[in-house]
Amino acid sequence: MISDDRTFRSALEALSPIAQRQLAAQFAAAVLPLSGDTRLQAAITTAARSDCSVAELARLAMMLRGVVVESYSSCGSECDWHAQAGHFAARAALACVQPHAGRSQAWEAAMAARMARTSAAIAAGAGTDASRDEAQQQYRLFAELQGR
Amino acid sequence: MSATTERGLNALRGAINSHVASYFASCVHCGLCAEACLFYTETGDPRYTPIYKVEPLRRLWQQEYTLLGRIGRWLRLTKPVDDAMLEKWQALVYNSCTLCGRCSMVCPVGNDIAYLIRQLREGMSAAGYAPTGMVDATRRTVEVGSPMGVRLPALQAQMRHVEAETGIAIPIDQPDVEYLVLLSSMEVINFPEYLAAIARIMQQAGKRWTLCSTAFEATNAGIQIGQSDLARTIVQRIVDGAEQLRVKTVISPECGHAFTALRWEGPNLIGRPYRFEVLHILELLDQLRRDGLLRTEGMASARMSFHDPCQIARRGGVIEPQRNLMKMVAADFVELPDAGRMNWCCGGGGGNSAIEEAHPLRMQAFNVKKRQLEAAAPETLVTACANCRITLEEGLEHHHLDLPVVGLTELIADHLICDPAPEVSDDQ
Repeated sequence: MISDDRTFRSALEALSPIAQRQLAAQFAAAVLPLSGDTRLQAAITTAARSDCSVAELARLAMMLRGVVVESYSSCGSECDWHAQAGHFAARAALACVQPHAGRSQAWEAAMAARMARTSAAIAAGAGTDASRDEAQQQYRLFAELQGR
Repeated sequence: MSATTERGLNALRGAINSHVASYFASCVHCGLCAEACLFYTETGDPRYTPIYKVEPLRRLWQQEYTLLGRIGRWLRLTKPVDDAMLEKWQALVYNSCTLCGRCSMVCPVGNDIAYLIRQLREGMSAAGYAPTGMVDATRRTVEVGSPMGVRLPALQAQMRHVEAETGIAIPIDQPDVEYLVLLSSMEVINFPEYLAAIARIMQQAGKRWTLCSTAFEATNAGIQIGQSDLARTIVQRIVDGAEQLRVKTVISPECGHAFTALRWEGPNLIGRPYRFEVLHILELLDQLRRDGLLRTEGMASARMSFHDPCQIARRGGVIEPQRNLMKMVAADFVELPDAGRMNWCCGGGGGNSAIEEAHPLRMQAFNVKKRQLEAAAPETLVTACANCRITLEEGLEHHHLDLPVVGLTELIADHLICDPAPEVSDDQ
């Protein structure tokens, strides 16, 4: 099983666009409980399907961009790290439905999901290993995908 | 008149220096500044004429420092500056001004109207007429060291995230290195990709750098709300950190006002020159480019424009570096109308984005940015200020425009040539 991010990133970039999107959906789903926004679930469910259309993804991307913008911590406001975890969960969901030129969708979702976990850990005053634990979980999900 | 108002008026009297006096004395009442202000152009409301926004300061100057004004006051021909006036002006001084300084550029007699607003904010703040959002941000800056309440453990958590993402160790409290890198709370909270980009760029350039555990925050709430004492304390914190670590250069982050606060106002605030240089991150990147240490590959094919943050370009004088950098990575770089020194503000500067009740006006003022974008028709908008970035995204969302916004440092890092980490030279 992969154990470092350099290999992980290369492996993700080598996946087909559909496999990337489906794996991204799994990464995002893992942090979905950190967001109270019900709109994320619909996007993740759609992204996990192999037969979703470009139009469907575009519509969801538009909706999720709104969720991401709404959930930014604005300059000068007190950061609520619980809410910030939700923001990064939304960014992970957005990565599932919005291809980004030159970047791996699955990698983008993975990083946002880790930030969501890190934000939740900061909110809980917990240790800072949350990102590492999430990374291990992502390596496992990737291995499962390869094993199918 | 309340004791708080009296304190505010005393603060205003203290703010009336020779610059303020000469500006008011030389104002020719032409009104040209109105057409330079996005709040006026997008609403047509004459109250948003910049010089009118500083009327309490002007009236106090006239009544107390000019012969005719004193006579008029003695004969009760003019109204005094009182609680009612300051309360009425709060929205004009804070909600409808981003300290963007565009008005100062068009004044035919060279008055720095943005400076007058800053001076007026000193009195408004002392009199208790600053917006709640800004007051809270200021309180957190005093108590925690960050306007958004970011503490060191949060930064450390983000550092670990970035280390895992990039495979590069993020240095902190390293003495005798070349660069002390500052961050804004916004970057710690919303854009950890900025720190990742810095780590990758520094590694490629072979430069030694550090964060500072006692001075990682660059933003300066004292400048925005109008409290010079606090502004001085914040600058001093950075100066102490930089001098203890004996760094050669302090790097201001992708934040507008943090740069002007530290680079241009800081030495005057603390009353002595720095023992280090201050550069904005864009200036550093351009230096690295000139020295052949910033090597990129590939060009983005999307049509790209750059939004100049007011405090970096107009007030800070950094205009060419961002264009040199854009040309490294953008095959189709197109300027917005009025780009550079006369660019239009995003609407969120000067603490405006921390004022919740200013949101509707901010979105109305965004119409000018919308027109700029429609004229240039970029497919990606690039900027170099975390606050601009979010304000732009909010405005685009509000106006139903689908346009990605990215940070320039991050964009450059995305195009770095991936090669083995160079040896860091021993002389640094």
